[in-house]
Amino acid sequence: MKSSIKSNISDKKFCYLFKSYILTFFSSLLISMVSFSSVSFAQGNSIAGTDANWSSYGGNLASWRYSELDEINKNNVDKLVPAWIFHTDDYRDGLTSTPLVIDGVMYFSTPSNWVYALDAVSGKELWKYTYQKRPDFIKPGSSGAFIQSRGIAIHNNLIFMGTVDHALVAIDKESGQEVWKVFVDDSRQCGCNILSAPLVVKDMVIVGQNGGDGAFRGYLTAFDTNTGRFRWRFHTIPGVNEPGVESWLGDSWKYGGGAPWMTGSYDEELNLLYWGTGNAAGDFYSGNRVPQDRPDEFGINLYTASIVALNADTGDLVWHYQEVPRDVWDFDSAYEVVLMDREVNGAKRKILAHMNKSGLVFVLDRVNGEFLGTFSVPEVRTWITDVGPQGQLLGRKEPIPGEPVNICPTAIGAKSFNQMAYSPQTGLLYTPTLEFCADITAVEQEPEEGIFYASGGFVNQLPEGRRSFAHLDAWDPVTGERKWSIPSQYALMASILTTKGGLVFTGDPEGWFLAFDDSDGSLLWSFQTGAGHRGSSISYSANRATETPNQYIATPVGWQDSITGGMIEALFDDANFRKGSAIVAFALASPGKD
Amino acid sequence: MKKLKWLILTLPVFTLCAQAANYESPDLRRGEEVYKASCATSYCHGVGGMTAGAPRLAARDFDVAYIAQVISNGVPDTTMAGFVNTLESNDLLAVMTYVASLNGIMNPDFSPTDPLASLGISVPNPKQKILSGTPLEGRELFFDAYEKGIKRCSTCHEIEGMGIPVAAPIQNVPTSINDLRKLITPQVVEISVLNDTMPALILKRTAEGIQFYDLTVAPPVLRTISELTNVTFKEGKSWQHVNVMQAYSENELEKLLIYLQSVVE
Repeated sequence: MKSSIKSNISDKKFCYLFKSYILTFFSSLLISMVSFSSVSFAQGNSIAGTDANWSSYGGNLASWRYSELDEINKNNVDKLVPAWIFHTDDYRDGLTSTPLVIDGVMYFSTPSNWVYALDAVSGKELWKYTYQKRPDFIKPGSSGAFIQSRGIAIHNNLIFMGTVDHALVAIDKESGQEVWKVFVDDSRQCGCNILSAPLVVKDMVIVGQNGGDGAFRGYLTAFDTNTGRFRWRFHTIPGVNEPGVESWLGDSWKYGGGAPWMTGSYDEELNLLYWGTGNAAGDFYSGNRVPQDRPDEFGINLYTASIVALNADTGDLVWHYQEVPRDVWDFDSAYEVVLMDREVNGAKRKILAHMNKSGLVFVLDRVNGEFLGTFSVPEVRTWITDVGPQGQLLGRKEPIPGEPVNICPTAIGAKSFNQMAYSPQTGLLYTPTLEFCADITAVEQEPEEGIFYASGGFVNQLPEGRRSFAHLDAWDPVTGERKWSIPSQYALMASILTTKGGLVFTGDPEGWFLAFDDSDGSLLWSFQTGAGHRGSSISYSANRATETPNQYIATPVGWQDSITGGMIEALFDDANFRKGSAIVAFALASPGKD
Repeated sequence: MKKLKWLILTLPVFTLCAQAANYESPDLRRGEEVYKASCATSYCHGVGGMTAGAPRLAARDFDVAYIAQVISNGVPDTTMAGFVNTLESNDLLAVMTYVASLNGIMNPDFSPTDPLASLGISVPNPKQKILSGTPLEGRELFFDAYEKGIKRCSTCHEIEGMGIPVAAPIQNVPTSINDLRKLITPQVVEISVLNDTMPALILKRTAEGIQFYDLTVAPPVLRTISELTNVTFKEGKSWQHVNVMQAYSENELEKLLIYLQSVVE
């Protein structure tokens, strides 16, 4: 198996990955669990992964990014070849999205809010939708100029996409024509925009937004899928006379951030939506948003940096868990919420696992929000010294006004918005982790609606004494044990895909697309795709010439060189983080059949 | 070796920062304050002009004209916004002076009276008038995202460069609340699509299709229907402007009128 790896990869690349593999057994022993109750491993999820279709952003509504397909597996992955490559004509800022596949057609969005439909077997373009933005939609001095599109949603005959001028559009799946459009907010006022994929639940399409690093109050909004009509809105920060507003000083709740800027999950049986919320604003200074008599443990600046569980029909809050009370590090908790059913203390429970920017993974009972445990993923950590038995943040190292303080992880996070994956087959979470620090300087700042409200700034730094600055890990979410770890030289900022074939896929900034053994992390296959990876790979099946559908692995390529991607690239003089904008689809070579 | 390169790269920057910190000019000190608050924020530039989310600004050999142009008008199609409309002119000048100092220009030749015009840069007129008192209170109500939320006026009206232009531009402001209540929105009809009947504001109607705003609930939904077979029309009275005004009290409506009268030509 190893010889086939070497034939596909440069010697330099092979050496560092091979050494990493050897190191993994030692490093896994060195990681300390922060806190965990007595739990044991068992499988038995009632939730299924994806099969022929990849129909939502996280694969399934539990955000697993796991495919039940196993035609491509450990035994034949080294025979993967490119089936087709499709180049978009949108070179604005790489390609960060997750493609969706329904019945042999692939749909995906690009940073300019264009949507493409491709034949998923041939890569041939079927149609292209070009969103018409409002003129002057960017509020000067806001974060609304950050232009991306991380994904779309599909329901019946409609495709849904949030836009950079803060609208939600529905597009006909067959024709590519716009069917309805609603402005969720006024980007010129709020300084906000929608970069994340919506989530479809029942007959509703639900969407959050970016803008929480500005003076803005985040919310989720649900619209009718057929008509676009408003259904409900949940503000992530309580308003006047609502429970939780007392956790804010004065009227600081109006500008407190908490934007739910990624995509949530849904449990059909419980009818609960789970969504992570962004950090409190201003980001790095809390003096003007925290009541002085508030204890420094739980329930500060609610419901920022939290997981909220909402009744899907009404948007009413059922429970919440705040992971970073009084956040001063820009440690959003907006990332994916992974749902699973696992045995804990001898009883099967519905749990969730959720990593926030700090790299802490919280494991909760998703019925009631009960804290079950947490573990810390990054190897370099200075922002806290420990976590208490109930998830309290201990030994906080905080930014100081007017003076740079070196803190790890950086405000970019121990993980960016790229997502981890969960395999019910191994019971493991596969996580892409960054190891960067930052000199953070806090500044007391007056909020102005929609304007950047970071209350400081930061300069990223490479932690001393390291030769690699990212790693792909496998974690047991129930015990908090790291099973294996594979270092990567620069950064891992693409999502993870795992499959029933026993494989874990991801890509790196230099363009390598990689397949690992899900049980021990050994590298089984790699391919240089020509451009850096910042999006999310998927798996699907579709008919080729044979009657039996074939499995494909598809990945977006094209490095995002603005904001987080650009910040990391700037740290490495010798980096060659390749630009581009394409989808590369792989399948097993089958000469004679096609 | 990588760490060494990083140190070498940053040394000139620290030197320049030290110069800036010791400089006595009030403009420069103010410029550094404005820079920290408006430029060195989170994912934008770094403190002291260092690299962060946006490029390094220190020791780049920028000249005065370039600094004034970019800080004022931004860089099109990038995250760099222009600040000519968001910063007071003194602060704009101060932050230009500060960025110039980071590039070794310690006494930049910005004209204090009209720095942008002197550089041949056209300054767009601010879209918002400077208001105070009741007109300002009226504006805050018009755009009130906190109390009124999606029921605020700007959900359907664009004025002074903000708001969603669902309705036609406001041209004639009523003189009293009674007159405001009598306003009839033209082109609102009832449309039935299959069995779904809704009040609609027609934008475009051709033989091939129709485009309209569904006004059933706020915010309005722009619908595009290419097949007219299942669409029927009739005169509509179910939606009236006076009903959506109920989000505002009598006192608030007075303030809204005063605001509109002060900004609509």
